[in-house]
Amino acid sequence: MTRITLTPIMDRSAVKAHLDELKAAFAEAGSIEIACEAVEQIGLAGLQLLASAVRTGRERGTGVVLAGVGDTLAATLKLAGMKQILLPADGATS
Amino acid sequence: MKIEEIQDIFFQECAEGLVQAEEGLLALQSGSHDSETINTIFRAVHSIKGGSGAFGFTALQHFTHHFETLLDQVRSGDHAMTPGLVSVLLAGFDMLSDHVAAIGGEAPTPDDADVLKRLQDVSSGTPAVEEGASPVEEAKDDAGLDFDIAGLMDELDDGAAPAADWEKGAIEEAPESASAESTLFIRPSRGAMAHGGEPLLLIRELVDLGASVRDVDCSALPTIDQFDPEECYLGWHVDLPDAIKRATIDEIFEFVAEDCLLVFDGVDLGSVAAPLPVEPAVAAAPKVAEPVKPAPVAVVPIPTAEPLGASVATTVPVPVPVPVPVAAAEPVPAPEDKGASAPVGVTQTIRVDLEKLDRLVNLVGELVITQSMLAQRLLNCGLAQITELSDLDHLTRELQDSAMAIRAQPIRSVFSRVPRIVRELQASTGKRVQLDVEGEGTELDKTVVERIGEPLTHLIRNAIDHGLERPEDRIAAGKDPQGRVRLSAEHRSGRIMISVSDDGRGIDRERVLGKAIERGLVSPDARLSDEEIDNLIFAAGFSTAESVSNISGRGVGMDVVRRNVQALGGRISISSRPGEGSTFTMSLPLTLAILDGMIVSVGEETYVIPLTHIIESLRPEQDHVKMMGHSQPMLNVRGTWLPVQSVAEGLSISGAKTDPSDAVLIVVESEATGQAVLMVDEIRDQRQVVIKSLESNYRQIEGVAGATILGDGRVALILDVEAITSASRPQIERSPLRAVK
Repeated sequence: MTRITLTPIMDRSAVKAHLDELKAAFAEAGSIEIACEAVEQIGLAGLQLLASAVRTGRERGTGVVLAGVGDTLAATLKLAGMKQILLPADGATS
Repeated sequence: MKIEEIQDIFFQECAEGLVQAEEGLLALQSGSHDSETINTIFRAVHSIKGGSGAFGFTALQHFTHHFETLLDQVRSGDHAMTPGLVSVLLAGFDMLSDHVAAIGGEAPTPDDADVLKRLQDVSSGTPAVEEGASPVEEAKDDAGLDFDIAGLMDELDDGAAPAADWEKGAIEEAPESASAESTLFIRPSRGAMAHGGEPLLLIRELVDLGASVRDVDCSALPTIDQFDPEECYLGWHVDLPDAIKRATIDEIFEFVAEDCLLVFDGVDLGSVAAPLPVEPAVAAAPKVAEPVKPAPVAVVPIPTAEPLGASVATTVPVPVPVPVPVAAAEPVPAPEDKGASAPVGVTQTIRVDLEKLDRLVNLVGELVITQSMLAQRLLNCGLAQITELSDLDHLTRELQDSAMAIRAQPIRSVFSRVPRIVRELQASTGKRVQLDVEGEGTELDKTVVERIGEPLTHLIRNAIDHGLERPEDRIAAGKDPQGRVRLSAEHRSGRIMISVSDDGRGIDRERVLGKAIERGLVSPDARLSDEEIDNLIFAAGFSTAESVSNISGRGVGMDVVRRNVQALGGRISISSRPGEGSTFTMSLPLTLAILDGMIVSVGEETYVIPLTHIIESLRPEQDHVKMMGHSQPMLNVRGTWLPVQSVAEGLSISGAKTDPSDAVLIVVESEATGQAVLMVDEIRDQRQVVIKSLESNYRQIEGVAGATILGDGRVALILDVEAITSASRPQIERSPLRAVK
């Protein structure tokens, strides 16, 4: 399993960096865990990256897990209408 | 546009927001608890918060954040609207005003600790904003949830602030679409995030206003290989409550209209969005999920004539994945009124340096003088009746009016300070006050607006501190324990009248007269009318720290108030009734630059009498003028005898006519003295004149309000009608108005 730890500030440059990590992770075998504990600020680019990663996993049969989703990320997902989609079990995954 | 200019706009918006918030809070105070009022206050504070973060005003941002939190709880119905809550909100508003003043450099950053604690105490006394939310969650900062706009990142404050209350409006708790009046589909263009754009801010703004996200359209989202962090792939269906007006939507999307597809309801747009072709990620199970077949989407451009009605400012044919059948192909009915697409309430403005404006006004003034001189020369040549001269006169007058109108401002900015003064005085005196304000939209010259604040504040303080009785005294007097103070402004006869009234005990004339005699301002055997006694409080040196009447003794005396008003070319008068209250009325010119005047001659001199004072002019019959006593001529004007004042006598001019029946009599009216008659030799002309200050070029002279340059190039003095007629009144042995230096 590949673990990718998101940075606290998920701005555009951080998203680009994590995109490269995710591409590399999908190139390898095994599931992917995206550690979200540290996220303090995140925008639409970051949310889209997470959703894209989940979608990619589904399409390729690769397990993608969002772990340690905190209040900040959960609230932003909720605002964007994506909480039910990415966090079905009421809150953070682990 | 430079950052300073953008910041200036923010300051302007802050000022407007404060006005809106205060109006709403005063409505709450008066018992209007409707949701729109509370929403208005919330939006105003929210807007200030947003801008403060963008410009790095962290103290303001921090305060508004907490203020906004409480307001949001209020609008959500978490708190009953009680006088105590209104008081806390008003305290919050006052502190917000101080913070805004601080960022504008008008005051130091205020110490908001006490007010913040009051706000937080009320906030924390409510249930958690989200069901099941822990105190920790409450301690999160909604600003901290914000987005990755590079320019804002550093400004977002710590993560220890309260939670984002808009969470409540998100889809889980939303009352679905049952109560929604309309639906808005939002699809930012692919490039909407270029240059730091953040579509989530738009969503958030709508949610803040009570909207709820019904669902998100992720169908355009690519897999990770095709993913571009700079592109926007999502779209949202948002349910809008009725409270969100169309104009508000236009306003929110005003600056992104070209980067965003907006479709308003009217047809069911739910089928436009293809479901996210992924299943939810499974929390703890790192198992391999079943492959999901790609959704049967077809990427087609939306025809420009389709879902976007005239309501959308600009549309971009964004490729939108549309499942078959293509519901989006159904045309959305165009709005009935094409004009409705125009942003409502948007007024175009341009900021102009005040120096440039003043220069324009001065040049117009010079033009008036030149036009007048030209007319005089043509008259001398027998060409006074030419059409072009008349046209020039009209154009000059219109140009003057337009130029002065540019400087005109509503007096609201001054009146808006009064509620706070009232609140502070209520707290310090223990009195209960209801403030009624009228005419705050009345416009007058910017300079007058700027300089009327101090005297007005003093009058308000006097009215509450000394005019109104304490609640127990009012009850004993059979009055409502809550006193009333009324502040009003109106245009009347080319001037603006600003009044401050109270329903207090009125002026204690016996004590005022006694104190005036004690101070040598009035001789002991003087017999003064009630009005004259009232006016004694304006005498210099009358007011001291010692409280000698119900409206004196505040350090700065009423003489200073009157001097300030006079410096603006105005007058102040009093009307008081024992046990019923007092009214102070300031009569101010609309402009300080130009007036319409009657040109008269007295002896060899020429004077200007402001037309605003003139009722009529006449040459009296012999029997229309009678002598009262030995020296006071009186004119019978349709049955009313009015005192005749010789201008020549008042200004010590020799060679003027002395027999009223041989002269021209001008009936004038003033605020303080009512009607009177001025005697001059003859009337020479009537025209607009440009006022030149006598004080700034020479010194103040009793009976003279200013000077002007006439068409023949000569300087003429402008008469101070009120001062002249006041000085002429019989039985006044020592006029209080003489106190002016």
